[in-house]
Amino acid sequence: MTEQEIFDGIAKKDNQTFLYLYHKYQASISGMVQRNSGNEADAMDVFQEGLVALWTNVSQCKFKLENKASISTYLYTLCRNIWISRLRKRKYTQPIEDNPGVEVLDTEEDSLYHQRIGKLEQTFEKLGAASKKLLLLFYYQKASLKEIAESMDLTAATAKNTKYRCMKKLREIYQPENEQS
Amino acid sequence: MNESFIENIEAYLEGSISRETLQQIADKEGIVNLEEEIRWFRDSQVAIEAAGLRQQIKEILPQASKKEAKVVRLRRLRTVLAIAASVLVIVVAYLGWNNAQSDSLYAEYEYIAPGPPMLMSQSDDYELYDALTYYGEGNYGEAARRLQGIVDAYPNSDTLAFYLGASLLYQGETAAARSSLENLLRQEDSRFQQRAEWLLVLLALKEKDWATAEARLSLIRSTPDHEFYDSAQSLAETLREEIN
Repeated sequence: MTEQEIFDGIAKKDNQTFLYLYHKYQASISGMVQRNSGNEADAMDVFQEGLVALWTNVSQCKFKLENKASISTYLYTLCRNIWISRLRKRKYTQPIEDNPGVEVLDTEEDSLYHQRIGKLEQTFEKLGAASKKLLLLFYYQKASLKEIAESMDLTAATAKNTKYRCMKKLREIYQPENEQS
Repeated sequence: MNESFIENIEAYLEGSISRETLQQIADKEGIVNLEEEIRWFRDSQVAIEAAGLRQQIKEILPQASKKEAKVVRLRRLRTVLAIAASVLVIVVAYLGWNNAQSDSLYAEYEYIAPGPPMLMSQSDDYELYDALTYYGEGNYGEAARRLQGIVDAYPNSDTLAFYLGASLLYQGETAAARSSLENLLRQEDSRFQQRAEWLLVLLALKEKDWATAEARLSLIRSTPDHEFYDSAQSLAETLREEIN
């Protein structure tokens, strides 16, 4: 796959693209995690988290192909920062050992952004099942309010009003701890 | 902030209205921190999409991981004899396990479709009513026999196709059940479609056809509002862990 095809695939949340990235780069990222006090499960978790972060940055135009870095280098750096952040939480203080030959980018600003998105995602998970379903249908599946109404046995007006109330609830229970950005 | 202003922010984020227009609306509404409001909605939407994507990725990646682990394990076996012996033991164990596993999975996820909600006695279709009465009583053999006898009279009835398929499945007549349920799926907008899709998953379990079961499950899992979505998620996970 070309860089452009990978980029477009990530933006479209295409499964084949994610599998391609897995086969091509998971070993290198897993090596980095396992050389630095992590195990196979940690590595898999970090890789998945890295893919979500990569999609977030692509969708929000925080990563563009005209940037100097390749997608693989960018993904590696995102995963490395995710792992460093987790090591810090585990009170691990030794410097991280990198994969020789892999360039590491400075994405500190990205990290703060991802912390905020992560915190919002955790808050979203606290909503009730029906609220989560409705919001996922609307924002993730891109279903129309009419389609949502049909699938959830609501009227379109109720679906619209419920969506508003769900977003309001999300905001009420969100608590930005030490938010810096 | 009211519902209509939220819609305006969403319209702005989608590019339907300009920043200037949004600012004018915000001024009218007396909203002073517009930047923060926009940021909140943009980030919330990203977070919700990220939650959906995380689930999507979890579903596809562990499968790839398991397949590779199997290859590595095989490479490490030291002798051909050891491989042959291991395979023999595994095959014998698997055959026994496979039957037991299939039965227990079927039992765990079995779904007995309730009879039709309408009062069939008030309908003119007395033959259909008659057959479905047996179905409602759990006499699936008699229900299947009677329904098969009137198939030609109701060629486009999704009710008949569904209850015939269900009766045959519960009787263990999987080939005939498949034919009836697949026939139903070819009909558009049937209210029995999702239940038929689930029964076809159960049918594949009964036949120990794991590949078909997984393929049918994946269709259900691609529809979050499917009435068997949660069961499909759970069963797919079990199949991945215990069968693959």
